[in-house]
Amino acid sequence: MAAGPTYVPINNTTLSSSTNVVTFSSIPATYTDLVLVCRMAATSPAANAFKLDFNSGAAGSVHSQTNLRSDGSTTGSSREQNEANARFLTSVNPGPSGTEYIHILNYSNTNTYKNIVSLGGDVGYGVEINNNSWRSYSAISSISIFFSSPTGNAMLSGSQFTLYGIKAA
Amino acid sequence: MPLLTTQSAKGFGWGKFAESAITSDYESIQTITVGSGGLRTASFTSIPATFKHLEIRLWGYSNRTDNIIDDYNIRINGDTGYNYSYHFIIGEGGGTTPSFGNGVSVSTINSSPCIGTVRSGGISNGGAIIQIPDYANTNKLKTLKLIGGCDLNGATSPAPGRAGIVSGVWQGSNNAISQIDLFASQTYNWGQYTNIALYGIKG
Repeated sequence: MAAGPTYVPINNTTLSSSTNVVTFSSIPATYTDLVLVCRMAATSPAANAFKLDFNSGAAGSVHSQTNLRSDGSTTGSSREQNEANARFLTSVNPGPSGTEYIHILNYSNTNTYKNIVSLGGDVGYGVEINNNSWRSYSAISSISIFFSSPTGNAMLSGSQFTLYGIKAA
Repeated sequence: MPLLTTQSAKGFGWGKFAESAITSDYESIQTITVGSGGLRTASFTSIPATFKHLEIRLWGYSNRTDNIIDDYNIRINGDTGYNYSYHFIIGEGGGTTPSFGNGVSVSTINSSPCIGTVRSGGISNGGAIIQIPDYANTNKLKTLKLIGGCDLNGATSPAPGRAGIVSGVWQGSNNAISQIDLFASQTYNWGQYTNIALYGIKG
């Protein structure tokens, strides 16, 4: 029996100027999953690693990530453990340029670690699937979005981020 | 309390909170949350044919006590015949070449991106988004796409984590899908707190 509508936009932003960090805060714990839809580009030069920080890093270096990727001529897979942030697209370029759909599963469940499934691509880089684990029992109440390097590299004006909540019956 | 902030070299700016808008085009049909005793097979039954597409969102692990990656199987309408085929590609990190494979005329669609297993000091886990388009159309065979992965949080057998994609088909009949079963490929149960939710998408 269908229990009713359940896919709800929580917040969104389109950057009016180049920005280093975008933060969604005070995320309600009333949903089961979060979906973060990202349409972004980098200021020059190309940025390394599109990343998320949860709850202002309060849990410490408890992120792990495995990816599957291709740049059009080669395929590969890499992994990181005990990182301070969740990691997604390996590179985001200036220009049109990248998209990422990030599914944050069980984000409000305080009995479990969190698993994040994502699929992304960048016109100047390639395509990538990531699986991230956040080893914290805390509900995710804030998400900060940024590029890891080079230092000072920013998200280009016009980049857009939308956060949805999905509530299971 | 602001819900959105942006930070740039030019300073801070405050975003505007967008009031939630309820849509009725994506509906929760059924959710299975596993209790302390575990669950061998997660079954969605009596799925109504009133939607256009189905989506399953899965957070889970198998309750074995060693650090092994399990995968799980997907079965449609209780069909135990050799009526399924699938392809997959997965990455396991470490700079390794991605693995790929397929199953042809087998008895389930296998989710090679896997689930995690219990590990002392923490819970390994896996996640997946499974999409089944046109599931109620009785004029065609049914296909699905799965993206997902898992993480053993430092354990290394056979790999500390995986990410991948699966595409599969059920060739048993053109019947609408009314039942979906998910179970670990070994004899283990879904572990406590495993959460598998089925949604319907209108078209």
